[in-house]
Amino acid sequence: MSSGLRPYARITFGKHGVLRFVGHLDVARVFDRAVRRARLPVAYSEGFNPRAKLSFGPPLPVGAEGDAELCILELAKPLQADEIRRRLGEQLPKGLAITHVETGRRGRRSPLADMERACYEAELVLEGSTQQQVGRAAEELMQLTALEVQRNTKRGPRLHDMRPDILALELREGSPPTLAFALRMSDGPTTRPSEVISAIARLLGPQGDISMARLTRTSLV
Amino acid sequence: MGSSPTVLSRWKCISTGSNSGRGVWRGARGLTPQALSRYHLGGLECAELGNPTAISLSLGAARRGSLDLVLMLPEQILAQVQKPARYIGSEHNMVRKDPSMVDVRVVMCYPDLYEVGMCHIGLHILYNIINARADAYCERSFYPQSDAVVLAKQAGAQLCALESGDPLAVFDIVGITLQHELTYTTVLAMLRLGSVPLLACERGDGEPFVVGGGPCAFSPEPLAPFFDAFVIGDGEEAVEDVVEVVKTHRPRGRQAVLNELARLDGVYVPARHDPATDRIRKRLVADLDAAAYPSKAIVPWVEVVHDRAQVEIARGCTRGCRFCQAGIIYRPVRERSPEKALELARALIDSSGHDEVSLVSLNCPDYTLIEGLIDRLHEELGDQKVSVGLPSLRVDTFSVDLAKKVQQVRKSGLTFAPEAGSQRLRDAMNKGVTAEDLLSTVQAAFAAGWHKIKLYFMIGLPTETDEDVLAIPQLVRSVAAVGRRTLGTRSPRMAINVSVSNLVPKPHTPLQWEGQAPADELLRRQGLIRHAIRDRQVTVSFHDVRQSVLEAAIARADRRMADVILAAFEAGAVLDGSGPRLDCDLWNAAFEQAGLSMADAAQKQFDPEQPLPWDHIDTGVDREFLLAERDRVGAGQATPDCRIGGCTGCGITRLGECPLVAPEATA
Repeated sequence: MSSGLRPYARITFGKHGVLRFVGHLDVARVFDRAVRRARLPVAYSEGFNPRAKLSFGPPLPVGAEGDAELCILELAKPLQADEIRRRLGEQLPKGLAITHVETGRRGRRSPLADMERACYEAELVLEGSTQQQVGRAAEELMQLTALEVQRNTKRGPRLHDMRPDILALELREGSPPTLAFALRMSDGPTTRPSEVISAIARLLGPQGDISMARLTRTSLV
Repeated sequence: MGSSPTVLSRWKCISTGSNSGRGVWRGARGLTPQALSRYHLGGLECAELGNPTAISLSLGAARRGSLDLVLMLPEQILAQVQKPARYIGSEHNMVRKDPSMVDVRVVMCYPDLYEVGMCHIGLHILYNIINARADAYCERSFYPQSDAVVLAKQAGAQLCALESGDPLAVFDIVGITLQHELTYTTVLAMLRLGSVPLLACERGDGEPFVVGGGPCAFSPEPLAPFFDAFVIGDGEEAVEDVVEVVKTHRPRGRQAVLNELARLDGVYVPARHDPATDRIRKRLVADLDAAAYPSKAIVPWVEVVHDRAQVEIARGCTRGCRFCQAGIIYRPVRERSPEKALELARALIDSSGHDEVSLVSLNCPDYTLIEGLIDRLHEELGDQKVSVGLPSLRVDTFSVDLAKKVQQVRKSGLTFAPEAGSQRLRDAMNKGVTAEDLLSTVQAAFAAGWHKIKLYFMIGLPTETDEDVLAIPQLVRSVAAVGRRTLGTRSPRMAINVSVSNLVPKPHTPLQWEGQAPADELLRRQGLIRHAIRDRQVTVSFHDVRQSVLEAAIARADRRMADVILAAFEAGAVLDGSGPRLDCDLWNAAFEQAGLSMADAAQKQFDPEQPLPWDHIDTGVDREFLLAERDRVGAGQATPDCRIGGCTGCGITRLGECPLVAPEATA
């Protein structure tokens, strides 16, 4: 039984409104409880502390919204996608709305293992710089071959090259101006959205103060 | 920012136009359009209306209606604080009502952080009772963490209720639970941050009635000037009386309401009662099955201290440990029936989705049908991987069977409280436990698969000698030896956590007349234990002596202590029991300012012939009983548990039947 392919559901959901202040681990707990309230036939981990087998995409920064977040729910027995969507959807809070459910069977490889990129949109507040300047800074950043930032790790400061992680970056002018960018995902160190904004700010120079008013992860692919 | 971003973030639409998205919105005091303009509002425009707290906003189409009349203005602020989800409300099972449609608005405050306060069952019981009424709405408020408080103060924001986002000042009743003395400055901090005048005499018509309850209401004088009323004893019925009085008599003005509150049973109104002559007898709920208990639990977004469903299975304890206040003030013992407990557990798990249900009482193994109840809970909930937890286990009644029962689904740690190291002192404290009991119980626990054992001890007990203190490490060594022997090859996983607290003599106990041991003496005794335990698998933690001294100084104080608390609060004291290191200099200065000394207050020895500052509060237990128990401390004599040994004549039968006492022992 354990050697066979295990049924799972791949749940796409949005994280909006006040729910953006609920952190990654807490969202996992919200799902855990919703699954229990919905009495879904979920698979549990072995051992003295059985946990419902739920896994999620990479953490979203607290305060950021997500349009298409991912949750993998392993099932004790197969269940129709629409039934999962209905029963779980009834138990999830308004800010965590299921947009899509598909079911499948998995082997050893996690259904989340193939994710390559996360796309973000950051609404900006500009002080001391124009949209044109920010747009040029974004283009400039994409021309760079390397962009190192210092990270404080347990083993002391480390340099991390962000540039290969930034797969796309552009300013969409408007009100508010929005910076759209895609970040590469990997098992190693990755680049955080706030680091992209800081990098732009550095390119703008001392007068160019920009900050993020609202950050949305639009997709995980 | 329990309070602050909540405050900041919530603007209420006071006149609109919600379809157009244009309307007048009222926000937290101090948030002006200038302040607002610092934030990017995502399609919002605002214009001042002359009143700094009302602003005309026009919502961008994209945001319209998406946040239920709640505008998240300062998301930058929420994003700056730790665990912002504590401050957003809207948890699963939160009660939603239209505040304008009720007669009485209540906010239940817990003077500590959200993750502590949300675990308090009493708050949830009262929340549900009030919200079951169509004419009242009960909301919640907690004290925010310091990072949020700083930001809230900078922005001029007020402490608000999580449900409506309205500041405490707009409520009819501000209910505050008083669990221990070190929350008192936080009580004042909540009132100040919620714009409620601190002194009851400064509150006028239209301002809230501040009502206290909980164990510390049994010795209310240190807080008397700050409260309009205290509810003494069980709150289930009293809270409805208080709501009813406020609803009925408010139109006649504040003084009329105070008059009527003072006429209620079990309600102490400092402005009306004279502690020298009046007697306030506690309220008592006779039948727990008939008493209201929530079947739905609010499920916090963040992890709270006790992150599980809680079912109170019994109230009160017959053991009679002589230092224990709860053992006196919650008399007589009343049990909820197993059927009712099971029904509540089922309903709570179904409505919350928690993976653990914890049975709550002062001592769960004393519950008459405990084994049957645990079996039935497992049958009922085991398939959903819901585990059953039993906090606070006494040693002697904990059987191997029980140990195995609670571990069926998930192992949580096991805690035992022998309290004293020597048999003589355990007898003097009436902690009827022997070393053999402890060791055989611990052996059973290790044999059943536990590796982690927690042991609670207390020092500073009256008549305690160094020999008694050193008996603690001896007992711990025996426990460790039993563990190694029983666990065999698994013994490297053994962990024994020893927690040593300091006696704080509490009102209404047989030790109420005794002074606390001086701080340097407590520290010396801690040192004796620290140096006698040298075992890598034993961790010893000591309760902060400074906190214990302050707690003792406040616990048995009279009304003069109010000045000290106020002065300490004004000097910056807050969260004295749970925050960073207690600032003793600040407190000592506050005592001095009032012409008092913390050490003297803590060590004060009361003359049994003289009145006590809490004599006006009647727990139902006779003073003569407490005095007799006090004499038995000196004699090192235990008093048998009245469930087994028959009635000890404590006096509680004055208030009603005592259902669980064994018939008079025939000797």
